[in-house]
Amino acid sequence: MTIEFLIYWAGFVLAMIFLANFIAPKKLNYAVNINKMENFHRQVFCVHCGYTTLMLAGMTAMCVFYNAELVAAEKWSLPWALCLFMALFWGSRVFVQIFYYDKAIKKKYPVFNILFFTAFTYLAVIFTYLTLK
Amino acid sequence: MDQYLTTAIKFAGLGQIVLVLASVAIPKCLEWNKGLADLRSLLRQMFWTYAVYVTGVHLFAGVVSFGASDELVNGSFVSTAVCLLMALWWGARVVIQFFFFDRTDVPDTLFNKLAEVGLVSLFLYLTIVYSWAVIENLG
Repeated sequence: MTIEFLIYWAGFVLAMIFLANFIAPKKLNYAVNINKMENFHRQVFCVHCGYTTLMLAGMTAMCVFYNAELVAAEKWSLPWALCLFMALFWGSRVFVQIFYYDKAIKKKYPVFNILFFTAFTYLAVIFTYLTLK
Repeated sequence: MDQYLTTAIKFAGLGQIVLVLASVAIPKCLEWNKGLADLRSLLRQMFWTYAVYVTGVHLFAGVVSFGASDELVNGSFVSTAVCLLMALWWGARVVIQFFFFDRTDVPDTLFNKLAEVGLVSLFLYLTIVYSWAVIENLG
């Protein structure tokens, strides 16, 4: 198994998280729940959702189309900086999942919780490896 | 031309770093705690998580643009892709400001009005600079 293959897998995992962002609104009943917010705050929430989804699309594209550049990244180059950013992004996301997100919801959806935890950990490990290698 | 562009990118980086520092004040100015009070806890946590990660992107783009502006105009696929993403990111933010946000709920203070002028000017500047970098990279 090569590192290129593992990065393609990271792209697949990112694509799945990207798609999950389209399922979440229905699963978490956004239509009812975010209507409790004032109009402006609701719009800020939607804009942040949109930008997070754009970020995921960008990361997916990078793993699929710029695979070779990420593998060959030299320290302090732009591809290396991107690997570092993604390592910090997904490394911190593991901690957010464990220590910040509502325990009751994680108990309610244990399969999703394990899937997300595994996905975030995999991404954190891959990008940390690319940063440190 | 390249020297002007790299200098413009450095200023873009500085602008984004300042934006990140100013972002600390946004929740208070826009009364996020009050606005999110009735929300169920997971969605409130998601709101904050998204906000922090979006700010993280701004910090990353700011540091890379300020510290490695040459890397962003070296004509490689990665630099073109990053500049294109940032041009789309900030271009979309200008459109959102004028055509999506309903600003009637924003507290009507002089500070908020001046902040909006400053923000929109910055978003426009960032859109122009990163678009310019894309054109240079493709040229």
